[in-house]
Amino acid sequence: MTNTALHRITVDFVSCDRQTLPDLLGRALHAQVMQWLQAGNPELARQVHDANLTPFSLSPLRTRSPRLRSGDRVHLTIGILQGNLLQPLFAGLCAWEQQVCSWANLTFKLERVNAIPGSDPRVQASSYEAIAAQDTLGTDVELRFHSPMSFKQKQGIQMFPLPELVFDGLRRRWNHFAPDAVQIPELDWGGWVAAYDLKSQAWKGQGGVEIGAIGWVRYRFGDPYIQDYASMLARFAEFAGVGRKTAQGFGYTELVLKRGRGSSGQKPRPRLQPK
Amino acid sequence: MMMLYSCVLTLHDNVFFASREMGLLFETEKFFHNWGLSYALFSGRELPQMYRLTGEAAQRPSYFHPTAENRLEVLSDLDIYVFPAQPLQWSYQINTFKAAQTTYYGKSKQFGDKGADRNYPINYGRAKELAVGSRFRTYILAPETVVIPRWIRLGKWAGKVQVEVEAIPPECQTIDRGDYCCDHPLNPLDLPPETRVRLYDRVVMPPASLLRRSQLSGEYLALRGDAWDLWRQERELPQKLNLPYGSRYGANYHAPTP
Repeated sequence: MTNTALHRITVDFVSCDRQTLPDLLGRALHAQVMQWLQAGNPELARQVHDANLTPFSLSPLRTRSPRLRSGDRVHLTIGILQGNLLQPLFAGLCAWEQQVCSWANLTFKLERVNAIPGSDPRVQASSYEAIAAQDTLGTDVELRFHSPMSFKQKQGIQMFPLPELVFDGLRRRWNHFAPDAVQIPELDWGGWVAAYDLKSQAWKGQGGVEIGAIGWVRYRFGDPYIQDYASMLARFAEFAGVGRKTAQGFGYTELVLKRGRGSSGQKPRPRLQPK
Repeated sequence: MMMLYSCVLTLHDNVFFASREMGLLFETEKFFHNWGLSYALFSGRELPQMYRLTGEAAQRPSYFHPTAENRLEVLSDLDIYVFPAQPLQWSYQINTFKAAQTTYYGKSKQFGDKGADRNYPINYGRAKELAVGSRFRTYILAPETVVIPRWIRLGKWAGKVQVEVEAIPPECQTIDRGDYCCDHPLNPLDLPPETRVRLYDRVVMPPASLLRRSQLSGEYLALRGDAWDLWRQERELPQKLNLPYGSRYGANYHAPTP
């Protein structure tokens, strides 16, 4: 397992009781992942805890309905930005697997851990070098934000994902974890938002309220040089998340690939002709 | 001579074992653990049948207990190894059960009742069972002389399971060394000590969680090529099958220190 490997794993839980999932469980989930790391490698867990940038990102808990009955499934996705985190995390998960996970008075049992691509649509594995070597996505890059995403800007919270905020934030995280050979220089992004469908959302919890934007945004970059870097970072966003508090379930991001001929291998659906 | 057998298990009864207990719901995982399967297949012949209704060892598993006559090392000494079983086709049935009280008068003790010492009602619940007709596949490494029963009983309700066995011709098998992928579920505690597990999916279940779709390195039994392609036709077998070579019960098991 190389240190430059990137992984996105899913952890499936089953609800132990009839319970309702709150919006905000990010802190508890973060603490749970740190606990698994602590059980797997206490020294590494301490380093992760003290680091400025957290080398993992979390999704919110995914489920069909927030009203759970015993036996209902919930899924957590963990993006791992540092390859050496995976084995300690697995070791910690193994040590904890027969115990009941309790977050904010909710109880769950671990059911499955998926790390091999293909086991779950959300599971991915790559490396910084592999992402850097991939083809460009073209002029348009579309990102979908599944959990509230926001940025800290001049003591305030900016919710609109401007290209500079999104891609420069991703560039900083990329440069922090990626090897020297694939570092990204400081860039004038010069792109613009071509289309979007966003809405603000407030997530309430015991710790207060967190606001952010969810939905999708399509960015357009005219310069082929910038397109290359934007494509790299858009792929990286699936592992790292976008914006602030990505290690607590915020800014969980998916790259939307074009569904034209070539990208998925399928013919585009013919448009209906008006009668 | 060592043979590799392919076994298809067909459920003729519901099979239930409590892989996960969640309040009132008791759920069966859709994989059969190889230790349980080994007892089901070989108890009474290769493994002595133990009856321990009383005493300190009652209701305690003795997979690797040094003094237990039916410990799994007995099978390892006979060069028998059963891999976990993966589902080919499965469905579930949820049954609500209510266990009658054996005392003269017994009222259901609900959670929070006086005298209820557990956090769930102790005499009723729902069992999520693998339903009749579900089919599973496993592989057995054993000498040519081994007798594999046609019917076994599995799970808490001792459900009846049909076993269809076929010996895989030796010309389909080669022993290789290096990195390989194994789609079949594996028990990490039984892997040869020199085998390294790099990446895997984990199926959490007692007594030891299984690995699925694992990427490993070490010595392995590879089933591929023309002979394999010819033999596996109409048998629902995968195009390529790799199994770790030299698996033994408890090869990586370290007994907990008292």
